[in-house]
Amino acid sequence: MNEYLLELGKGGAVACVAYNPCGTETASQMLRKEVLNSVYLEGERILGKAVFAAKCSLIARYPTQDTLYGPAVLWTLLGDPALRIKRPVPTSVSEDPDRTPTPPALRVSPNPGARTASICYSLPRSGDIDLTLLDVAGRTVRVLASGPWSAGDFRLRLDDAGLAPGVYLVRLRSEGQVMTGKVIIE
Amino acid sequence: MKKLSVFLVLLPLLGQADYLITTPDSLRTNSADYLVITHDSFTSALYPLCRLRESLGLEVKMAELPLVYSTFDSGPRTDRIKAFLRQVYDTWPRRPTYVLLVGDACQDSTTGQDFLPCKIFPKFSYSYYSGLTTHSIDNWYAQLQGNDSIPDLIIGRLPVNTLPRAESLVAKIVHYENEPDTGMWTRTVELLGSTDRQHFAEELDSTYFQPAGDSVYTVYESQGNSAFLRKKTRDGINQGASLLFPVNHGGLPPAWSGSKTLFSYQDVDTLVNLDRLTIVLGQG
Repeated sequence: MNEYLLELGKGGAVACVAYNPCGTETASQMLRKEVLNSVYLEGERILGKAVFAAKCSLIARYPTQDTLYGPAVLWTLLGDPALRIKRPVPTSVSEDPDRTPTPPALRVSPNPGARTASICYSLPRSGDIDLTLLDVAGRTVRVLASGPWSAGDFRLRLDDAGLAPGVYLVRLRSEGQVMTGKVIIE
Repeated sequence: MKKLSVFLVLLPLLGQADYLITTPDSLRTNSADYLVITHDSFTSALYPLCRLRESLGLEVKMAELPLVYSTFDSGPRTDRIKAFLRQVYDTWPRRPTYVLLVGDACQDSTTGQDFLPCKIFPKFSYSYYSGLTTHSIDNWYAQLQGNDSIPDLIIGRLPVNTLPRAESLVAKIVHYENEPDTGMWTRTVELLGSTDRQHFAEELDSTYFQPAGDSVYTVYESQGNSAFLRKKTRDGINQGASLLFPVNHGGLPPAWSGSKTLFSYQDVDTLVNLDRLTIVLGQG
């Protein structure tokens, strides 16, 4: 069905997210709620980022339950991952008319197995940020940076002292966008 | 005059060459925010999309499969593409946030329709529709760090199998992004619900759409017979819906259904939503 909608010359769909080929109802509901959390509650407008965050969340939270992580692995974006969802921006994250198109960015490296990980993030404009280390259940483990932040490129060393081995997520919220990276502590 | 004509003809091609990676060394060391990996049949269709992404501040690069296969020449085609992505992820000083795969995949590589292959895995433990025993996943290409299944890049695919279809889909994407965000349809969500799953559609409505003040167009199985439901679904898409949620079952031939059909692949050709292109957040 999805490919028919994409193939239609004029009209139909511009992007589809679907299993390839089959998932479970529980996972389907969780994935779609995660996408809506990103779009409706956090103001995410890039379709691929919202889908990515949903997949990361489910796979990280249920790494051994294939009825949950499996469908998340199979959930496939048919379309441009950088597509901007056509929805008016809510007033809480309204756009600055002078805003340039460069988005904030997050990168985690080197990992895996390193005693420390580097978290690099770029802020094209000053503003409030929230950089948080989460466990796989989505609980806050450490707040790495928070509050008003100046524009620029930043690097932060994450010391694994006190962190149990496992997979963690680094989440950057800035300008109404949410970016997620993965950290593995061995 | 003739020289000027030649220059004017070559000018767009020179601009296009900036995106395309043409040497093995440039595959190994480069930089990009947005990386396109494409079957070479579709390259010419992709420049408008590359220009759009570049105009939005992203550094764009495009790699064709023949060069990827010849540069990373060990193993099956899926492994060669993955080897390229590992190289990108591990060594490019600016590695891409987005990876776009261009080309349809087909499990039977002898059909000529397997333009950009998917990795095939044995199925997960749960039951599969029609007794399928394998699944194909693009997520595997984005699994580049650690031994887990969490993706490390944001990946998508244009599942096209002809150049005209590639051109058409790219034109839709570019048009969608360039049109201003106006009209009620951008604040409209269409929910399709089979009887057994209507409760979830209603939960989405009350949790997200109503609080946001969005307009919700519902097509629930309980509202009528199949002919009525198919028409109502079609009317909703034609009026315009920013997001479309099929909360129902799939089927073969392709359909969104419960005990009745809510929308069939045969209905697609009757759509006339033109500029009001929807995004489907589906399941099957």
